[in-house]
Amino acid sequence: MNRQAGIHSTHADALFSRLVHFGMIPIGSHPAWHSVFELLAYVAGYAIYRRLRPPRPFAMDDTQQWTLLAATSLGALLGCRLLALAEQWTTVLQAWQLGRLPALLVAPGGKTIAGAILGGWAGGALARRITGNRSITGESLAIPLCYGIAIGRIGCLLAGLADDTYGIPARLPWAVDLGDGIGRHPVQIYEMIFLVALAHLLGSKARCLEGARLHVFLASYLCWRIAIDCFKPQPLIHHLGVIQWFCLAGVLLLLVNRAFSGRESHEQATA
Amino acid sequence: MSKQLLERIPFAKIIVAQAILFAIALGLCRLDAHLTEHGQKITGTMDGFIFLTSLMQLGVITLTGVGIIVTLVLWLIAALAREFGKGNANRQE
Repeated sequence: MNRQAGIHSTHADALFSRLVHFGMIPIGSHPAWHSVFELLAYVAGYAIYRRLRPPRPFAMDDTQQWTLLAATSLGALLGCRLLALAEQWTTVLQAWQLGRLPALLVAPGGKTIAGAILGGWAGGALARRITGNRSITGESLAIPLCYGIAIGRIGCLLAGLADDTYGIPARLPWAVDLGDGIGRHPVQIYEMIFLVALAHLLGSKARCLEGARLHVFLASYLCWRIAIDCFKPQPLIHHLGVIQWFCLAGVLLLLVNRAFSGRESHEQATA
Repeated sequence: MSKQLLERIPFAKIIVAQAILFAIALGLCRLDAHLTEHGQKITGTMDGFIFLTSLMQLGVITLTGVGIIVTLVLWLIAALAREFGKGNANRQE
């Protein structure tokens, strides 16, 4: 199918201005779907969290909870934007040379969930260090995050090429044509399947997961992003994209953190 | 009086609300940019809609962005004032 045939022009104000072809199945596509599913992801994630959380999820008072939440939110906000800008470093460099750096606040680059996760984790860890509260806090967040991101990825898929999260070209029966006539890896669908499977695993009552669900989620998702981003077209620095490098750093930090916390608990047990 | 007022303000909750609004508005704003950049044909109604939502999003981004910074500064002042007050009280005892 050529490019012209791939783009199905209907009424401009309809939400189906382009067609995504998933195999033989045409699906209405429009960037606005991204916002719809992003909002749905927030709502669904919160609803799942409300449903799954234990009666007293955090061993801390209300003020400490909100302080931690504020630090996590700010970290996530900064992380999602800064990593998205870092991913588009060529655009940032151009804007800087043209003296239009402030315009990038709302211009291309968007947000990236990997940055939000890394930033949120860093913000939360910083707040816990400052307040001195070392109680486990993210246990009940892992599964809602899985489903929230999976729902958000539906929006990424339906947003088509405008979303910049599409896969590299592929000659596969399940390749998705995002409107440019080129079959691509449906990386968003791969991620949805992975996240649902991960949520299922995290929901199991395995003893090894007790108290480690958030860290298992973080490590799994970051490793997943390192792998799946190989199927996305992006500028590479030493064979990896910017997001992949940050994910790799995140995984290494998690391992270091795990090793230190293991040593601390061993010292406490022997003391 | 002002110290009590500062202590009563739920800074953390305000920051969380502002961060969520900022994130949502940022996402919506990018879509508008894409719609126009990628040559999406825009009819009269869509044009008006995009213009209106863009204005709203920019307004939300500006207000929440400035709001987050102001709230953080006030929170810091309140925390410092509380610590300073505690120090003074200990010295008087």
